[in-house]
Amino acid sequence: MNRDELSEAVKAIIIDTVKHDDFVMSEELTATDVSGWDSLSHMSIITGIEQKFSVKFKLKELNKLKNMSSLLDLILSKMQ
Amino acid sequence: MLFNSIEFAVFAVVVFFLYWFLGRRSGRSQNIILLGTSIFFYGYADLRFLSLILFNVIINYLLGLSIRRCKSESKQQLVLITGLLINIGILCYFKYFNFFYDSIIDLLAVFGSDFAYSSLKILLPLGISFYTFQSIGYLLDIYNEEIEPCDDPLAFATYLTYFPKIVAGPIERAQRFLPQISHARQFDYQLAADGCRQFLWGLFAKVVLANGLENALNPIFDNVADQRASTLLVGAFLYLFYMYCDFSGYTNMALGISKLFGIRLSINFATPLFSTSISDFWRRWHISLSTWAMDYLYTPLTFIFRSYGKAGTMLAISITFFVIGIWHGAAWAYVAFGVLQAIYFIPLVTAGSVNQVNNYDDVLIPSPVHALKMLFMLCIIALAFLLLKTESVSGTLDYISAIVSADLFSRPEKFPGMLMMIFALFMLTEWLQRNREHALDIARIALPYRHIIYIVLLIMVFGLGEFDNSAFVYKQF
Repeated sequence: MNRDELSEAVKAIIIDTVKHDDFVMSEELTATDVSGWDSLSHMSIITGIEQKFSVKFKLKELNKLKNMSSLLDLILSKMQ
Repeated sequence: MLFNSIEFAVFAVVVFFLYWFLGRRSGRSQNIILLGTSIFFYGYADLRFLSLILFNVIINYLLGLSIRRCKSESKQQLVLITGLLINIGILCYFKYFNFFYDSIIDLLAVFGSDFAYSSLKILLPLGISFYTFQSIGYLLDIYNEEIEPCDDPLAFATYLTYFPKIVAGPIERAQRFLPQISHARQFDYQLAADGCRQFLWGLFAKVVLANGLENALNPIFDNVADQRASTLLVGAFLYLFYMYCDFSGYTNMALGISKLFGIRLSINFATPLFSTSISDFWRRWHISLSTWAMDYLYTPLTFIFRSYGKAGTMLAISITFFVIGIWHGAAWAYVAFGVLQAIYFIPLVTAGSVNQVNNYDDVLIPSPVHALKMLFMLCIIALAFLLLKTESVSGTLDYISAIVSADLFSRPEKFPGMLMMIFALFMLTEWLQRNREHALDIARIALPYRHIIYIVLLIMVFGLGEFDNSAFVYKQF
């Protein structure tokens, strides 16, 4: 899976969680750019990503995420 | 020294002039003045526990530095756990010792023990729940590498003791507060003027509405047995409105005062009485506590329980609200308050709509569906808040059972009509201004109209307000 395909798959998980697609997917995207992506929904998105890509994160790794770019980097590093 | 007292008015004016005239040359001198006056403020209110908060400052400053200096993860964990045990241990001793002690004795009595005892008289240090949660958040943020430890003891002491927030919050994050005091602050007239407006709105909410509502509801709760059901129903709503006016009033005053010193504190309320779901309510009520609980309890717990799906979410929510409940006080009624909040979440978790945000920011009049949801939320929140008022599960159940009777539809004997009209205008203003930081954010309105609004509010504050009434309710938490 290349980065673009990964990005699309992550976008689908976010839409499924926040129940809307009113955001533009980009490498700079942050949770604050997406209405409904808050503390409550964050872990649902993370669990969705873990299940979809069969990866496991550490809480500390999640705490260091800055934007979509760092999330995609982290997923790709786990998938290798 | 209450924010709505003459002593505080004198204190605030003195600090203002010291800060901007003596301290204007450097951030360090400004921090010295803030720290010195904050220590005076705390000591004036509670001299006995001044040493406790200073101990808290020193120990957490050193623990923060120690976490970062440890090279290995295991040593960092050891220092973090030590810090958490110290902070939680102190909080538990002062706030929960008698509760646990009495509960154990009661439990023994169930099994036939007739152990005679008397509770220890342990006093609750002012603001301990607030500054302890700030300290815990600070240590966890350093451990999670979200912030660097503060290496300036003066700035750190100012952060924990800062007088506008020491009594009842907001529970301020270090990463938001410390950068604001790391340099010399320049006087910002617009910010200071906005602070005055926010303070005025908070003062109005406290002395006119909260104190008036308290006078109206106390006779109802003092003698529940003799009240009509309709009066009790009114009383339940009056208490919810009182809590909102009291705590949001306090918060607006705290945020307003802080702006006079060029420091922005976190927003604590976002019109929670217009919530349309329980998750919406907790995004809007006591935001600094709910976000603290979300970040340091709910998120790690959901991470731990993430493979259990909705059951894991429910478990995380239950533990989080248990802590939020008991944070409010050491009694089973507060535990029940937390459990009830978790129960309210069950339909949302089951339907998978916990994360759904109810967006009505751009409508002037809510739709009938929104309005009904708001009304329903007011009812279930008023019901839950009865636990905070009666401080007793049985007292709350008695109150509710007394409401469910034939004279529910009779005319309530006690209804503060005039006060409720003022409250309705207050809520209308909050609705119209709900997308702004506070309801009196009216800098865009032409000056003559603004002056009229200020004069009307001041007349109401000094004409109708009660200044010799009770302290802020959240001070006791």
